[in-house]
Amino acid sequence: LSPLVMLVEDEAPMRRFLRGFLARYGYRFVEADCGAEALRLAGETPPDLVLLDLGLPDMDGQDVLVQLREWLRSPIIVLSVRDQERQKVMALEHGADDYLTKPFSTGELLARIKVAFRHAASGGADGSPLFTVGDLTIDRTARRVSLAGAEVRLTRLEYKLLVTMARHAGKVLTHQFLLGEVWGPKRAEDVQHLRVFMAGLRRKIEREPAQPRYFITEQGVGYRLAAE
Amino acid sequence: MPSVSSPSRPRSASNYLAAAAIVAACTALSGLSHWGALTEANMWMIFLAGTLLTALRFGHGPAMLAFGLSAASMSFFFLHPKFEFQFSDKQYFITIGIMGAVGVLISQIASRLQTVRRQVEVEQLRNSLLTSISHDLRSPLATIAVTTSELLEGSPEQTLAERRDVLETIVDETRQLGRQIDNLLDMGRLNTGDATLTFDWNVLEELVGVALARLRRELAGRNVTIDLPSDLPLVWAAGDLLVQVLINLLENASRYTPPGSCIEIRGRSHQRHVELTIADNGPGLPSGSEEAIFGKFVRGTTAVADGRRGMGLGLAICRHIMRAHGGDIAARNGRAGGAEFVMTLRCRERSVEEPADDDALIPATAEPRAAGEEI
Repeated sequence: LSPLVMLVEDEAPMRRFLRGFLARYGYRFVEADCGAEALRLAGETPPDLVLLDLGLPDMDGQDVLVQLREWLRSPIIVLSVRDQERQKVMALEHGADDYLTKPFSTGELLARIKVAFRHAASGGADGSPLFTVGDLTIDRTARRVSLAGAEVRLTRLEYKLLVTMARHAGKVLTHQFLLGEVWGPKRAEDVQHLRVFMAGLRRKIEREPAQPRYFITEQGVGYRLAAE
Repeated sequence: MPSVSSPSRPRSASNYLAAAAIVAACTALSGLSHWGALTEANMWMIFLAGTLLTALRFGHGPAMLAFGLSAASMSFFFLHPKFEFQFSDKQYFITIGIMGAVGVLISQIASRLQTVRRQVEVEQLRNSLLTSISHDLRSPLATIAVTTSELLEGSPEQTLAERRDVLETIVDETRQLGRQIDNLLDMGRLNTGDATLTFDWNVLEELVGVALARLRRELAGRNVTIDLPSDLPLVWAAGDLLVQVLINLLENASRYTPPGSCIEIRGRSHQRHVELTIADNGPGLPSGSEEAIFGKFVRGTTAVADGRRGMGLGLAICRHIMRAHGGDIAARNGRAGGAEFVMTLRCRERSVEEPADDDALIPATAEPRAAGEEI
């Protein structure tokens, strides 16, 4: 049986588009056009993935998210519009796995869904000491990083940052999460520090640091390591 | 709404000082001509003129000060008994009374005029803003409406490529519409002092990267080169807003240059600021328009090569945003032709206190290497 996706969106044209998309890629789906309906439907048949629009007519999307997360373990991808960076960060803190900014392309949506399913299945560890994306390879047993076969020399903290991102490849990671994971709770607010480190990492790995292939900036939210 | 640069004059100490200075000047003038047989009536006229000037320029309070000082000065220096604050003739009270009344009247008329003028300015600004917005939003909308109906009513002979062309246009115009709305939202956020605007120290290359990623489609046919030295200092910015400025400028550069043109993004560090230049090798700006294009809602004249450069809100918003950053933006034509937009931003060195501090924060399980050491 193919995975069941719950679609929570009040705009009919958007729902129509998403419905077509999910059918085309062979997902089963249920639809809700408001928060209450979403909570009810999820209770009847727990979905394997939720696409949740934050702007709902009857209740705050964040509340729907919090209530679902009280018991639902399936990935939740939030859909929001630009200009809501704060909302996105809040949603991630409330347990959303990722977000998509409208308008998005079908390619982006498919990539997010795949990544969410993959992480849900693996439970966080990817089960292999080797991580590869594009020309970048991380050998986590040898603690070696190479780019198209040539070794890249990283500082210990750069390596730690890279490995943390690789563990969640394809998923958005907030500044606070990365700072907490790599530097510990004391540094959790020092976004500037993280930016400078990321710049260093990009200089060593990206061909053109201002047009990153691997380390994608999610403006106002955090970073994402490309998954493919 | 953009903030209106109102001609209001704060009733500050300097206005009162100016009033006193004007009276001093009147006194000097009357004093100089004292021996040149200036009649008393004319001296009164000189002081009246001083008081009226003060009323017109500096408003009610300073005018009253000028009036008082004038009366005192006349009495002390010029009227019998001299060097005493006394009026020998009660007639003088009529003169002084009229002088005071005229002063009050003129200052009130002046302030009312100013209010009216300000209202007219706000009204004009609002009108030009509305015209601009409706133009910026309506023209892409019109294109979308026309092209979609073409698609709907299209004859069956329409080839796939033709349909694709139409769809491409719709996507482009929709994205353009989205950017215009972003601009308006940013303008609103700036003017209302939105609390979600967070300024902090940013890596310029990262913000440039975000802008380039958002404009990938629009910049597809352009040759973009990036020249940002790795030691460029951090810049003080509200990330989303600076990205919006870059998007406006890059979109502008792609729109007003033919396909295949070059766009260069160049960052240079100066003592106290970073200069970021976006240069293209297109037809450049019409000479003389370098400053005007940043004016609020300036519309390009038809003489402009492409007919639209500088139209609408984009560049006015860029300047507004850059000034809110404590920086600025200017335009010029490059030496080799083509337009150059130069932004200045406050900066600071990228000092990262790496080793000692970081080591202490690493969990005990980490290997006991120095943090800066390479693995």
